[in-house]
Order: sequence, then structure tokens, then C-alpha cells
Amino acid sequence: MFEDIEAERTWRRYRLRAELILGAVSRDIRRQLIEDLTAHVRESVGQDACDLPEAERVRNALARLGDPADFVAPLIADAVVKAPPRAGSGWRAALAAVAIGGARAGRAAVALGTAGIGALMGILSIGNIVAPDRIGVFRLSADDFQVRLLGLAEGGGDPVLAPWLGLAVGALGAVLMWRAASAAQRFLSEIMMDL
Amino acid sequence: MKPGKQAAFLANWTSQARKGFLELLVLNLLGRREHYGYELVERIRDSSGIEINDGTLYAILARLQKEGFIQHRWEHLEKGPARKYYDLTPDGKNALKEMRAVWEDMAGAVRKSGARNV
Repeated sequence: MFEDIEAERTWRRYRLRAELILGAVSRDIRRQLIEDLTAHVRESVGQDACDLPEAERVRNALARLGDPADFVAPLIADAVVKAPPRAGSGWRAALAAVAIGGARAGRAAVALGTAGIGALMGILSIGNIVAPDRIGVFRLSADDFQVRLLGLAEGGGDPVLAPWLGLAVGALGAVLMWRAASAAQRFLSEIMMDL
Repeated sequence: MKPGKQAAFLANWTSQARKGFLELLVLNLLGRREHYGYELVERIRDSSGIEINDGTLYAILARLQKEGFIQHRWEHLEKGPARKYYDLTPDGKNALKEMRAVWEDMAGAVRKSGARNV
């Protein structure tokens, strides 16, 4: 929706929060309100002074809109008081909670796995530079390779990782860890917004 | 009444009174002509002088649409974002008439019953 990355991120966080808060109302109302908020922010950012950075214009627009928890409260109260209890609504809520929990657990597992692989690649790379004859990837036979991380025992075989290849593996590991850290930061900020 | 309690009472009363008032104000403006969301929010903020979050008005629009009092159409512009125009439905026009009558009655009653030495 916005060209500036920070502006887009700020808007997405706000929208996500609004969607989570609107989880208690009907799908139609939720869709309408999100549609309205989107159109409003787009219009508001377009009307705001153009000499301001886009991210600041988005922040201004969102500040004028206010916290979704405040203006959505009457709709939620209305839904709770007026809506007749729907058959299976408890199951739907439980399923939604399981789906959200499952998606989050999946994302956390991917972030942890990425960080773990990155760390292993980093250890392998550093070890390969320090002790290339004991740490690295070794070819034992034509189709048999062995990865040695700690180099505690002599295993034989020919080292496969040339110094530049070891450095490349280390760089790749660093990139993976950086991506995992960014994902974890986004993930934690989403959780914090829910609390 | 203690000042703190009085302020809390007034804040609560104002919030309740404002809720109905804003719904009437939105219907009233839409009764004149259709408005798109941002324009409506700006007009209400400027004309009423009430300090509210813009989001509050979108929640009111959602409620009014749910009740079937307002409808919307999208207008795609050559330049700029698409606009969602709101308008009254026939039910909305009837509701506005009744709400205005109630409002006039209430305002009249307050005027008539008001103590002169306050």
C-alpha cells in the first residue's frame, strides 16, 4: 500500500492489531471496518503535507484514527449483547485459537530452525578456518561425506571445504541468523501488541 | 458530590450522550448528500468541535450499515485512492426523521424545564 518500508510496516502492524481486536465481531463488519480504515489512511496520507516523510504521514493518520481497541469496543459490546449465540460458536473460537496458535508455533519453529542452521554453519565455518584438517566437511569415499563440527576425533577423509568455501558457508550462516533474528523480532512485536 | 466523582459522572454522561448524538450527526450529514468516509470524518470533526478519534466514526458507520440505515458505493478515481461513498437507505431516511423528532423533543424539554437561576 505504501512505497516506504517503514510506512508499510507501521500500517500493517496497525491493521493486524485491528483485525485481531475485531475477531469478536461478524466477518462483514470486520471486512467493512478494515476496508474503511484502509481507505481513510490512504486518503489521509495523500492529503497530509507532502514535505513530510511517508512513514510520518502514516503515523499521523493512525494517531488521528486512535487505538482500535477504543473505537471497536462498542461494536464488540454490541456483538456480545445483540448477537444470538450461534451453534458451534465455541468450537469456532477454539478452532480459531488453535489455528492462530498453530501458525505462530510454526513460525517460531521456522525461525528457531533457521537460527540453528545458521549457527551450525557459523561454527563449521570458524572451525574450518581454525582447524581445516579436523573441522569441516570430509569425503570418506566416493559417495560418503561426513560433517565434523568439533573435531574431537580423527576421522580421516579428504577435506572438501576450501578456505573460500568455508567463508561462504559462514557468510550464509550469518545471513540465516540475521533473517531469523528479524523474523523473531517481528513475531515478538506481534505478540506484544496482543498483550 | 466530590469533584473527582462529579468529573467521572460527567465524563460518563457525556460519553453516553455523544454516542447517540454522533449517530444522528452522521445520518444528518448523509441526509443532505452522500459523503466519502474521510470527508465525513473531517466534516464531523470540524463542525461538531468534539474531540474524538477518527476511528470512532468508522465504528458508527459500521453499526449504521449493519442496521441497514446506510449503503455505500465505490468510486474509482483516475488520480488518488478509490473512495467509498456513503448514502442513506430508505430505512435510514425514516430513522433520521424519527431521530430528529426525538432530538427536537428532548432539546425542547430541556429548554422548557431548565431552571432560570442556574
